[in-house]
Amino acid sequence: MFAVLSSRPDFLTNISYQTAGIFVVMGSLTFLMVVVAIMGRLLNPKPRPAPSVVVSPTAASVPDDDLPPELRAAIVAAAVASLEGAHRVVEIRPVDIRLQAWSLEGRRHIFQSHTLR
Amino acid sequence: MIQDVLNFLQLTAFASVTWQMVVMWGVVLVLMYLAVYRGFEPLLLVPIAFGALLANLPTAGLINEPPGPVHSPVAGQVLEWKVRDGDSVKEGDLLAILQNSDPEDAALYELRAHSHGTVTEINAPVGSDIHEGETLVTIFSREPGGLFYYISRGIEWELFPPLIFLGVGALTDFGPLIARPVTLLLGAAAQIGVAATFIGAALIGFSVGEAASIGIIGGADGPTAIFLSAKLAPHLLPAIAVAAYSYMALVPLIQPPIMRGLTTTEERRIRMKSLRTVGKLERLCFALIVCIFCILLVPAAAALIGMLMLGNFLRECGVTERLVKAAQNEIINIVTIFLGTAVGITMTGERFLRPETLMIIGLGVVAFGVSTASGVIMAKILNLFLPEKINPLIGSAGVSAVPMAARVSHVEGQRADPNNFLLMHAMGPNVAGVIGTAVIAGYYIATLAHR
Repeated sequence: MFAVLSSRPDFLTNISYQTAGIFVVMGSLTFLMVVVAIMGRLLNPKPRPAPSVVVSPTAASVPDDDLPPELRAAIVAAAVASLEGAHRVVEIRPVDIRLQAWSLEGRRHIFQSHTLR
Repeated sequence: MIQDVLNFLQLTAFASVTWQMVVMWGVVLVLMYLAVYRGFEPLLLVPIAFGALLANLPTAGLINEPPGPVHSPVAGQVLEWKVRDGDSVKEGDLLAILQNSDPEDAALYELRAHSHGTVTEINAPVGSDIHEGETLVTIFSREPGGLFYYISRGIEWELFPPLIFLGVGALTDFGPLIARPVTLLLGAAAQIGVAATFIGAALIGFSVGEAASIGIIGGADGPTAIFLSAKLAPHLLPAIAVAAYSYMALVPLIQPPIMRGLTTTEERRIRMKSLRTVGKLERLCFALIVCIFCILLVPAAAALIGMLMLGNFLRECGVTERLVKAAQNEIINIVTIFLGTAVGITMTGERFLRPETLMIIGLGVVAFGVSTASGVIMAKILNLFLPEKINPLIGSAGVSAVPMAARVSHVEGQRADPNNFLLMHAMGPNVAGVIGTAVIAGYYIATLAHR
């Protein structure tokens, strides 16, 4: 098809040529997607289940005694679900909504990637 | 004394100002206003606008070609020589009439002098067959070429776009893409706008090389657009560069209506799970895999992909701090100045003030719109199959325009849900778009450049 593509091809030839182009792009990026996904699996084996975190209302690692135990349990559960590996909750404090914590987290990721040894 | 003043006035260039130059000064002012007062891609629009100003002044010794061999622009025959050995010629003087042998373009060509000097050697007698690029005549002079003649070699020899890609690679974090590889498909889908615009441009009369160069505007990747245009349609380079960078600056205006029109409020409120941490080894492997695979697939894009991934490998390997800093700052900044001014210097009134320029600007916005829509629709299609839904707003970031398009996805997401943070999720398709645009550019170059 490419060898006979004139400088002004007819509509159907052009459609066929573009379809081939999109197929090349889709196919190549799909291949990369599969390779990257496999690479991710190989280099990041699923972490072993995190050690169970037992939180009692009197746990010393959660210093704010004013919090109801259910809320403390929910916060620790959220930490276990979102962070990899074992962690210890050392402080619980309210986040000012104006701080936009997720934006800060995103920014922290970006700056962390800029950190040189 | 009055006579001296009159004599001096005859040496000035005021009389050389043409109406095209005056109109282009207006275009330059608009570009400068957009860049300086509206903040539209100022890093490129300011050098482009200043280069365009210089191009539309009757300058001397700034853009003139050095003397030397004059090559045939076509394959065919020499019909008539208008000069003889030893004649003095000025830039633009008619040297010969050529006949093109291509049956699709049988027009007569006028071979003109590219510089001042003396005709020293005529290599092709009347009636002889000639090949494209063959030296037909040599012009001798001791004057060197102008400054911008040499700077413009960076575009003609395709040095600047790959060097910009080196800096882009050193600045790009592929982590979000590696953490969620499915976003590669969003970057691929956005290239549908490139193909659709190609078809539209061909339908209204552009040749395939021109149509590919116009279509690539939809990829929203300036260096790739310049790289492709320099290969396939160098005469359209100024209009394509201006359209590409202007629309990249207008992403926050062009994309949101399309994104809102194609999504429901519920879809825009979809929250995505935070991305996993990507390790150093994964990042290094990614750079190598993309480099090897894409170059094997489309060797024509090797300069772009190779430099992009070199810059990224330098960044991620952690042992080349000085090189990374140079790529992220000095190299990309210096090349940006040269690239911008070299593009601007091609914007002469004669080349820019044509109906094609308006058509290119119109087709450019179509390209952007279709690319945006394709990315959003692909995200919605993926949601039919994915267990963890993705917010379709990040699909629009599949057009490159890093990081502007990702920021637009984030802002649109927050309009629907102020506590939804899409920025890092949108960076995946955003950088995937850079790879996708390079691949489709490689496809066009591989299939069209040597026709």
